Amino acid sequence: MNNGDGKNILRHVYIHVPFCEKKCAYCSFYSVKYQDDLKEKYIKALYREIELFQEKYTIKPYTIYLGGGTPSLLDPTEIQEILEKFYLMDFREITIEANPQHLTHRYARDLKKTLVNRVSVGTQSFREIELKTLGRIHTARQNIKAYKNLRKAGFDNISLDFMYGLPGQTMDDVAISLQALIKLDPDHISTYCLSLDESVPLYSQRNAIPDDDDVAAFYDLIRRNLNAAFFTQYEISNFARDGKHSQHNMCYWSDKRYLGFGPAASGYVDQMRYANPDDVDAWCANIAENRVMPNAHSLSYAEWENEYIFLNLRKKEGIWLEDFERTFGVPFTDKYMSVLNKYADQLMRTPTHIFLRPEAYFVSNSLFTEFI
Amino acid sequence: MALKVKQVKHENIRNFCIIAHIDHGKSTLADRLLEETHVVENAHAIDQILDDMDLERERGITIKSHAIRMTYEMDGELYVMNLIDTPGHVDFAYEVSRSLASCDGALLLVDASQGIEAQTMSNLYLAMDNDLEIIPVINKIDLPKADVEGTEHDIMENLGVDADMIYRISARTGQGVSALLEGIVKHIPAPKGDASNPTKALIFDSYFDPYRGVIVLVRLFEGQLRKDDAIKLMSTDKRYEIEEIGYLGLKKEKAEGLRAGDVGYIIANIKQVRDARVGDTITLFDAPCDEAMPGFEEPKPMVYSGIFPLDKEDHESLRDSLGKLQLNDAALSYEPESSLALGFGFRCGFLGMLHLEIIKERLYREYNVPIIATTPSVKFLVTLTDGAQVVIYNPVDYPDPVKIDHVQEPIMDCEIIVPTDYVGNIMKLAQERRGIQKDMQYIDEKRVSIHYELPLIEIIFDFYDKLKSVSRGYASLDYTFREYRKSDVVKVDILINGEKVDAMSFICHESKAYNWGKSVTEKLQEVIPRQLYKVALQASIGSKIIARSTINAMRKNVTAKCYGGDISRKRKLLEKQKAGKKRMKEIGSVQVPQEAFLEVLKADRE
Repeated sequence: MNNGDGKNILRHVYIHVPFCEKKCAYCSFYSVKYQDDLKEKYIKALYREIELFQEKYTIKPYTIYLGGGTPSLLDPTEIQEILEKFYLMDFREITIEANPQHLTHRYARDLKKTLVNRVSVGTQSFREIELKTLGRIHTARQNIKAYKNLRKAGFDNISLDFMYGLPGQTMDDVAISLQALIKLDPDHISTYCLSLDESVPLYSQRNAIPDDDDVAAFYDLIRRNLNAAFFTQYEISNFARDGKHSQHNMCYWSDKRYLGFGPAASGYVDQMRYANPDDVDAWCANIAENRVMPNAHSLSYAEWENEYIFLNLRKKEGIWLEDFERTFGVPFTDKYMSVLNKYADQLMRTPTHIFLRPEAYFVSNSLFTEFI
Repeated sequence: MALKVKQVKHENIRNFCIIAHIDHGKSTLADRLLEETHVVENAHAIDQILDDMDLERERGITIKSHAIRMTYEMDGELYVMNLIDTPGHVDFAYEVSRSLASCDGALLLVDASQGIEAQTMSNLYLAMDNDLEIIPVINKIDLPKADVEGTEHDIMENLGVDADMIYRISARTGQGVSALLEGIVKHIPAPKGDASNPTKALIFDSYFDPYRGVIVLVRLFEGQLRKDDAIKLMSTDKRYEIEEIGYLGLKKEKAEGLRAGDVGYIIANIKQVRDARVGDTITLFDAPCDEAMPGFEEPKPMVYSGIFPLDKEDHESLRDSLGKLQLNDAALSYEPESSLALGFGFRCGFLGMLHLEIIKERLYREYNVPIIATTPSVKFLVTLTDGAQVVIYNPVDYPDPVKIDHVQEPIMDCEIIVPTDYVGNIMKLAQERRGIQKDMQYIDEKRVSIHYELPLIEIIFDFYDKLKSVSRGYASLDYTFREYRKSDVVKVDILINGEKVDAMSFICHESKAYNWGKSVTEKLQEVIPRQLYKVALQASIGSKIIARSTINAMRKNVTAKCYGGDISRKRKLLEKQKAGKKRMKEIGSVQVPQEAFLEVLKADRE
């Protein structure tokens, strides 16, 4: 990770766009209500933050990911201007998260004119009642419309979000949404099992959430159906057609370094993990004082190794033994022999890799803790 | 005007105690008496002075007895009054009996809104056995729900006294308290005994002071004790020299000596409480009395439980802490025990369940040692086929059933006082607990006293709580050991994934084995989190499985989304889960939380 001039080259960039029209009932991530002047303030500070990082590091992104919040609250021209702050000769994948209601024919068309080449749409469900429960402000119809607009505009890498484990949800509900989703024929599907933080409004309906056995059965149903529809499960929650896996997300699971810009964004560089303040004003104040990477946490060797293991094990191919040994100086199979023996039913082994059996994905945290 | 009294006439000493049920206002009355006699000016400041252990104050019960000396002037005469406090729980019946033996009179304090209760009755009988003069006192007469007349009627009926002998007070407001003080002087006899006789002093309490060693509280019946006297403890014949002697005021008040009739303390370089046991007699080494005071008994543990440190590292400090507790608690016994499931710990003997609870809590609060206590058990007498007899107080030591000829279990005499409305419930409960009804007597038209013989093992598992709940809190209970009796008991083992958990084994009556086994496996099913594989929970007698529950394999423990690459959040979550796992014991490759050992204690024993 060194280009010879002493500076690290960073290949992955995350930009957090913290605005929402309305906060979803299940969401505990940071966002604020959209306002024009706040957006102006945000963009100005973001530019400055990019400059500050560029003074520190060489940033030549392979991937850029605009997440939120709701990045589709930005105009395509604003998005292009932000992207152009970066060196873009090497880019491979630029993703933006978008809400279905924003993806009008016109917005999709304008977005296609930018360097964005992948759109991740927050469809979540194709059941009206579920969208309402979640506090989403789009309809199932808008989901379909948004997808079609993107296709018409020429996007060939579209990801759709699918949430399950919702209050009152039955196997039939899951199957119906799933069929609608598959019928659209997207390139990528991200599935999210609902988990409720105590602070969110939907927490009041936690008792209506199907029990673990049911949710696990939903997950199995989703996996089986997506596999049958030729989606490869390349990570615990993500499914893609050949070659369409998210390169940006894969950087997280592969222990790659990345920078995070914007409030509440997190980054990983120089063996440090940092998180920006989850508050627009506090974040702006830091930048005004030329302060980036606040509260950076230097990973201990043990923490690094733990992260390496649990992140890589989320991937279909698992841990590449050679890379592990090169990185940590000890053969994985020696160090974790007893865990591998104890959980021989869950941890599979090839001459080059250790990987999690897909049947064990849904209890993966229990296995990950064995390596701590 | 707290008068310093060096010497009061022998006939002006009054030694008395207060007999009352929990919550009937004993401590409040003691406060008022201290105020009236100017020992303290405002007792509220030192809430309920006699109960000086935090735990006692919180539970509202007196665990150890204490004493305090008051002076009181009446008709120009100066009187000394020694109030000797008594523990208020059935576990401490022996200590109560020794406190009562130190008195010449007793106030029988009854809450006007509650009436007489079982323990009050048994202590009253104990007081009568000791020939104490009883002064009946009705407390809380100011309460709106007070039934003064009904209570009076109760007392007259049970004590055979006239209404005009009963004092009516409110310890809370102080109403009637000065009249009661006069009553104490008038009715309670002066101590018998003679200062010129050979010395005879009864130990009614002793406690450990880290700076002074054991402080021995005594009542002198005959003769005198002076500083520097060589004394002898009659149960051990051990010789000590009195370093300090004095009276028990609010603080210790040094004196030259104590005389027959006095109540006071002695410090004599005694190292541990078990060397100065309650009930023992002190005499002069060179001029001993002929015979000791009657009634001395070695403390007899009735309930046994394994105490293990939650954290293996704490084994040393647990041993030290038990040692320190024993310095101050002659009734606590312990010896090393090891368990496959829980590691190294101690098998401890207790007077009863309250005593066990108190020790557990003191270990935690005073010594900061978190512990696991295993299922309590009692002492079984097992006669083997070869005629040998073994005493079993740990289920782990229970012999192979084929070698057992028969087993005997401890049976208690129980006295339950309950309003007639709940008699049916009580009878049902006692029957479930293998009780044999011996007698039932009406105390008045509304209440009965029922006498049962109940196996102790049936009492120690939440019998008292059940008794309270089926009688809406009105039933009261008192029990004493009766005898060992032949019984069909079995040892039940608990298995987790086929592996025996020694610390969860228990001994019970054959007729209870299935239900108890089932309720334990069901409880474990609730408290052991799902594992990555199916877990079998079984209860067995020998190799015969009598109950079974299953914990299904875990289905969900996943972080579906890592938002914006926030890996730290995920790592922290996993670290937290790992920390949780570390607090568990691995048994049969199953992660068993510590709470499981506590929860099996709460398993229903119906």
